[in-house]
Amino acid sequence: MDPETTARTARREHGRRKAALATAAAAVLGAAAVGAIGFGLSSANAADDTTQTTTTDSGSTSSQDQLQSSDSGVDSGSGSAHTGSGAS
Amino acid sequence: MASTAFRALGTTAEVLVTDPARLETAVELLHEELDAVDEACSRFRADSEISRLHDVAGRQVRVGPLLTEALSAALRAARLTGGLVDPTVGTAVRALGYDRDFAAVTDGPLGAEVPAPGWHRVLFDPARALVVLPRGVHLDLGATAKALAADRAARRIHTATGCGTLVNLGGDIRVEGPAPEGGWQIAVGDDHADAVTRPDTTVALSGGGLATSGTTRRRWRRGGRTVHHIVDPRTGGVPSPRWRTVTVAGKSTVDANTASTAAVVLGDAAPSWLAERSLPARLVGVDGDIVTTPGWPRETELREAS
Repeated sequence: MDPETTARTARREHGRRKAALATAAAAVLGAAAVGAIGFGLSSANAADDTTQTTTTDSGSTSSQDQLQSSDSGVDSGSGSAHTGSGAS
Repeated sequence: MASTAFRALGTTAEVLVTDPARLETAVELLHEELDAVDEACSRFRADSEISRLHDVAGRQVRVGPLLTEALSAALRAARLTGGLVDPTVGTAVRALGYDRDFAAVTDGPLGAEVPAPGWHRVLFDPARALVVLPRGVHLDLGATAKALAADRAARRIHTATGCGTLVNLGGDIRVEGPAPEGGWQIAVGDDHADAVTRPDTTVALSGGGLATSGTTRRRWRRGGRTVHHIVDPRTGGVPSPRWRTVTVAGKSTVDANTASTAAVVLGDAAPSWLAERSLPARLVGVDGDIVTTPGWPRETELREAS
């Protein structure tokens, strides 16, 4: 091989190595991100009664999970108070 | 009906049952539940599970079922509020001077405001009860742990006694089982300690939870400023003073408390934020103006009734 061909081959090889390195790095970062997200998102599987109703069968958190109002709602008071709510 | 109140978790704990014969059991179970929550979640106890978690920051550790549930509730609250309620405000709260049991908090220089590092930095697998708390991230589960304690205690007491049960932890209320005729009557005011004797309004609750967050209690002076315990995670400082009291009814006390705390942080946008989530709420501005969301009983009717 002449020097120019050798240089071209070397540049191509260098480019392939760089591309492979970038791909590998992206794969590692992607895997890390997926792992972290998967790990973190599982935090949403709260064990309280609100979340149980909004967790999918697979156990993953449903995007429908939301703060929920009471089924029975809140009505006007009609007598002397049993207890009180305020800042604490 | 019978009731008992005592001090716990730095506030007042109260339990009411529709069958007086079941009160002793209810009180015993409430004490057990509160002790367990304190041992798992108190940032003021060096021997609590959460303090030990801070001690091993950066390492993966397995936590107990109660702390798993409390972390799940706190991180879910953060996610559903877009970070308005964030358990990673521990450092921010301490910088404001709330670094010990509230009764011992004193005036002093105000530290620099420290925005919360963000709930998403906590790596947590609830199915395996595994947590990695990054170094420098300090948790404060106060906003949701007390509400969770009310939810858990009311459920447990009702299951054990079979009677209608109301648990009130410093204004965070959960009712379970058959309510008295007309529902549990709950006075709403700025301060949980005198809401019954000085009610702004009274509502009836037959199920679920009700919580009030406000800036009129748990206040202290720091660096010549008055600060309080509700922190805006985005800034690390106290929220802009728009609402002094926000009361929300929810399916659970955790949901109600999450929403009421978020509303105080959110400020002007809070009524529409609550309405979009169909959460009945009553907001009292720092100037005394009252705003309610759909589902909350009309204020005029309540005043006539009370």
